[in-house]
Amino acid sequence: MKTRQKRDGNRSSALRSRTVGLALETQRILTGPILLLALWELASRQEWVYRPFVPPPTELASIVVDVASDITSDILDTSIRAFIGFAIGTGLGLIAAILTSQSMSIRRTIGPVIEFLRPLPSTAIIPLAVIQLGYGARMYAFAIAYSVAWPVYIAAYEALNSTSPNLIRVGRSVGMSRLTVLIRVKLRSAGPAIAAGMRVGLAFAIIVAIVSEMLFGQSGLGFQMTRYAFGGRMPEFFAIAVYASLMGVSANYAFVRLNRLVHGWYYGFSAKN
Amino acid sequence: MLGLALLMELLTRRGVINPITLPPPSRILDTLVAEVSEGDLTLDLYLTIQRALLGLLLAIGVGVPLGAIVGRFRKIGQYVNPVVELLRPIPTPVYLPLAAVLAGYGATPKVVVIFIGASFPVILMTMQGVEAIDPSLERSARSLGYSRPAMVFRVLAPAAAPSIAAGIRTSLSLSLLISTVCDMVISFNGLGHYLVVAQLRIQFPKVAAGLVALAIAAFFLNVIAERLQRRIMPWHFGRTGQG
Repeated sequence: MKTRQKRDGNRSSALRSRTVGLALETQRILTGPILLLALWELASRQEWVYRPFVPPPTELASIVVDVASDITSDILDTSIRAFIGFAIGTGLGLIAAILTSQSMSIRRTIGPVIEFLRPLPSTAIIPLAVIQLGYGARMYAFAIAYSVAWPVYIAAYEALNSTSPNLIRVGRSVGMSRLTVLIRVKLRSAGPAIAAGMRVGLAFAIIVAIVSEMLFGQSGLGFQMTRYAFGGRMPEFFAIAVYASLMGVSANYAFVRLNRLVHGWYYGFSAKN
Repeated sequence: MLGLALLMELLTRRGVINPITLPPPSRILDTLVAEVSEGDLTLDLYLTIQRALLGLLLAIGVGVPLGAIVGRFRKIGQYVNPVVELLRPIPTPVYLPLAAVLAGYGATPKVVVIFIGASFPVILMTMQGVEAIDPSLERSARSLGYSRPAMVFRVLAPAAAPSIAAGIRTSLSLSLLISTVCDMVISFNGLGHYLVVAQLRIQFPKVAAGLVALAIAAFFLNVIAERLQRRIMPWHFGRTGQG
């Protein structure tokens, strides 16, 4: 990439090379997805798949627009559920990681419990959440927070335990207290790793929100998707699925952007990215 | 661990925690033993794990070569990468109703959905592992006269292996997770189905017993995966000095 840009720059003016680079970049990014859509269109039109169940993208486009007004509240519901659970889960994971990494006695007491629960697929907790908390907002908050907390905890715990000893020594030698070292040195240097854990958690938040809605929901994208799909209205299902995917894509994009903003120093350092 | 179980036992016996919604550990253990010996729980657990592993194997079979090609050949990678990046953030449960409508409630749609979900970590980590191979490693192998296949299997593959293994470990947990989700939403059997049915029938000790059984199974699957990893690439663990 870089060498190519440099070569172009030598050949012509910088501006022109930039436009050419941009055009090339767009072409590279778009080719794959367009081919994929074309394949889908063809598969549907040639009846390689049963057409009423998998309509071609060109027919879906108008339905995607039409369905938007019907599911606005569902999009909001799912986003709010996922976000609340994500926020609580991140907090819980962080607190647990700080406690276990700072105190040996806490680590000894709850360490085995954590090791036992860690591999348990977090979605399996949803039925238990329903039993304890019913079908309302608290159930979503708990189930989502539980699954978000794990990747955050694991990333934060490992990062907090692998802070460079030199950094800690420097902090100590300039007279920082243990708490200040934790906040200003350890958490700071663990930031990028924690963010990576949070990014995994964000994906989980949306997954668990949708699954809970599919199972027990009365609203939300997951509920609407199963309702339409099992009601045999596949075009609407696909349209809603598009919004669910957009939610995943945009949440991920927003998080990556925000992370660059907060941890710019880290990505500036490392040669790649 | 034992302390926590005792504490829970005490709290539920004393009625501090409602013993109906959260049964005491001794009751959970009883239920677990009964359910396992009757075979219901065992069969459901077996089906869930079987589908998860099948999906995972498929994901490895497709993901590792694909990731290797994308990581190795920039030209192809430029075009494949955007597709991967586009499909990756799609929440896996979105595929569930579609899979059920197209292929029913059998094992195939579930394995396919697990395969889709579990592929991405394998693809990405293989890609990263292959991209990060030190070029000097390759140059020295070439100067030693390695043939092309020898280069791939004796130099490149071992160099990328730790990263690939990390991807597979992530996918193992993910495939179990998606398998449970499949059981819950589009299934008549499997552990997820067991949990949901027990919950709907208000059989709370069964829910807890199912969770414990799944936790134990998942725990051992992870231990096995770690053992395998150590056996296949002892050098990685020898060098870093720890797991």
